[in-house]
Amino acid sequence: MDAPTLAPTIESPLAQERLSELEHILAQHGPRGQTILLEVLHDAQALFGGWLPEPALRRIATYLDVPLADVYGVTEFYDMFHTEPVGRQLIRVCVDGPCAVRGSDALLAALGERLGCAPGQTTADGAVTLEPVRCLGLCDRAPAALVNSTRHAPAAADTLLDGSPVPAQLKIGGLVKVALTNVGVVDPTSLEDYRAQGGMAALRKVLREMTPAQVIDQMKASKLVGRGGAAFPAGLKWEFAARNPRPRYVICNADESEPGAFKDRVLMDGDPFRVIEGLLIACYATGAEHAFVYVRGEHRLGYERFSEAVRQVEQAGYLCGESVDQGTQERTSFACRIEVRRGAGAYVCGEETALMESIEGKRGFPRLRPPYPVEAGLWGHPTVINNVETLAKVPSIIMHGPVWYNALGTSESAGTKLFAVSGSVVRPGVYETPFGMPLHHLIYDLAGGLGEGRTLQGVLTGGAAGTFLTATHLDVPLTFEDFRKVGGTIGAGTIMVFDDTVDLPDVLARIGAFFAHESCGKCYPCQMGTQRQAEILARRARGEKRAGDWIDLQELAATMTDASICGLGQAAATAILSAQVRWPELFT
Amino acid sequence: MADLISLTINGRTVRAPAGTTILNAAHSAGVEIPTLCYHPNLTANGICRLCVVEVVGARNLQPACVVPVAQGMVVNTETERVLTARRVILELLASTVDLSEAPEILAYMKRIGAQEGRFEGGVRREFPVAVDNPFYIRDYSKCVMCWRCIQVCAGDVQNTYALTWGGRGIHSHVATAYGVPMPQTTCVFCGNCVGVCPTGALKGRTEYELTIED
Repeated sequence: MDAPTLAPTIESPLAQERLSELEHILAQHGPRGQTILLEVLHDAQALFGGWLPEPALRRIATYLDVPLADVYGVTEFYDMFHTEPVGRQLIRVCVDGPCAVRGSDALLAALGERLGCAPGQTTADGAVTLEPVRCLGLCDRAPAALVNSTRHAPAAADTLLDGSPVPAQLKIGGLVKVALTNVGVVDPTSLEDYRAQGGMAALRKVLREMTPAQVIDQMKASKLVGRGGAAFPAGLKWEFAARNPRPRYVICNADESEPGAFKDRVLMDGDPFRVIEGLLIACYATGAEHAFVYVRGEHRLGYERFSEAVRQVEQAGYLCGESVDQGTQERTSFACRIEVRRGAGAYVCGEETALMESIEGKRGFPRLRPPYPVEAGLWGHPTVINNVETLAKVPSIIMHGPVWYNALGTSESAGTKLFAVSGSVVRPGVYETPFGMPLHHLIYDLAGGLGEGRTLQGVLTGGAAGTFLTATHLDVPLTFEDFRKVGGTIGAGTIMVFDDTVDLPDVLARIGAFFAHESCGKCYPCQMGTQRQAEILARRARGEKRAGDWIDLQELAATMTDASICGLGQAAATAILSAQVRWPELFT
Repeated sequence: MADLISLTINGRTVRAPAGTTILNAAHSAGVEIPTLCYHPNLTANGICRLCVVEVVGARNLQPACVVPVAQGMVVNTETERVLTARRVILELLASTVDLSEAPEILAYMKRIGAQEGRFEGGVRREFPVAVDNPFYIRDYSKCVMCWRCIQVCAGDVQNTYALTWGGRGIHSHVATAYGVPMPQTTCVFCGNCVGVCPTGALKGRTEYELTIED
């Protein structure tokens, strides 16, 4: 990228002045070492006009006592950090599947033409950098763009460039409300209002009436499983961690960033206090004294909502207390602190061990497992990591009990699930349904079905790492067990719908490009396999087919699935393999 | 004397002290498992996945260099699954970097029938040779990203921290902060990185000058 002429260089007096302002940022964070690095880099980058000049990095390295090379290595890992000047305004346009279906290519082209610069470039006057990016998690309002950190969704070139705000439309619904109870009802910036809606009653109940072991028993009985995609029983995870020695940590994983995934965004924007209440209950149950909320870097609003929620909760005295067992009179003291941390543009940091590396201030390389986080997580200590939606379910389970929660779902899939529906539907949005409703209900009754005259071509369930279903599967109940039987995936509840106008090879190429872009580069199968898979899929989408493509894709898939270190590589070919099963003719 | 663990490797019963890796247990029993990123004196990260083996009951292939033996474990080191993964990994590597000075890798590729030209035509890692100090050169087109040089420079040996990772995914590479020449870094020219490089990406300046004169 050419250095824009108007961007501040470090020789300028302006930049010198900023270096002294950097001292204020450093003092605010304190000499906490590497763990605070990403937060410092975010703040420093804002100070230096969107990029990180060498003297700034050098000073940060010295202050935090981290080698300069390591600090630089961290900036290189995360998309949102720049070590070269960028435009004063950074326009990021999503180019992933759900936005592509709704015209993101045309939007990007129009912006490029109006600005007079190609995607990936900065205008000659240094005013604007136009950056095509992977999914921004605004798929319900596609096509999506960010101007600096301001959302434009749905985005149009005219309004985006003249700065007119796009009103945020809340698109939620469903048969029941558990996680969504307060969304759109409560003021997400007010603890007082959250309490007026019955909030914090579950935490109070837990502290007054239950021992940590009783809370864990209730969670186990509820059969709540993790909502981040892996579906591990939440109560069991808490129990494992609680058995291991202190200190213990709890993390809320708010790094949702897979194409088509936006259900956690709706919760963090709309009801952050519920998530924080769930997090505090998890801390009490597991005996954790320190908790983190790790929010996707692009979700500025979510970060602000969580930060404000934590501030108010702390001020109101909820971060410490004491419980007394009514029977034994045994006292359990409870004190914890919560830190809200920002990611910086790396999908792999949603992987739990990569996320921990990121909280420790490092490149987001996933760790080898075992050991598992419940044994050795953050800084080698027992750590529970739960998804936003998982924690949002906790207060309701405590208040109404596991029997109530079980009764909402099926015997093998308890309770309710949030589904993020995007693509070719009339009403893309987040819908909460009890497990067991047919897929048809979600796509047609809740999301309004397809446009007039359109027919269903395919449904990608479980996200970019998920599997394709077709019109023949519309009667399949939305449960883990029924989806498994037909080769579908519930995952985190991501449902991307494609009608007959959608170019499936193009969708597959974008999935391939997503994983290649997001591979961390640690293990060989994923580092190189995702790239070759993306190249083959892109070539085929252009109509250039080769006889060996089928077997090349199959062997790349087998190798990535079988030999990669983490879930990213292990699932990078899942959707492609599933497309080979559903539409073999696309691969001839 | 540490407790001895009994396991099965390729159908044979093998005994090894608790804590031994599958790689070392196999080696003691005369079963060789190929490795690339692994170095006996450095922290094993299990990144190249060339040493993967099939452990009965495990969902995925397991990296032998880091997984410890367990009582009753059943390991197979050369199954169809294992050989497919190794072959594809090496084919990917050959399509990405210059392996011309890595004869052991090329020989193993030949042995298991890996095709050098497969997956050709895409992004390769190509860099100009960095000749920026009197002691060694860095030819990162030959770098396989085994991490050994970064590790010896950092906490595994020298505690110098001159090197780091640039980029991500296929664009990963060994870098200095802001790409500055080695003399401007904390490098003390100890030469440990040159000593552990498996593919000729790092070599002594004299050796390099002799090769380019040829």
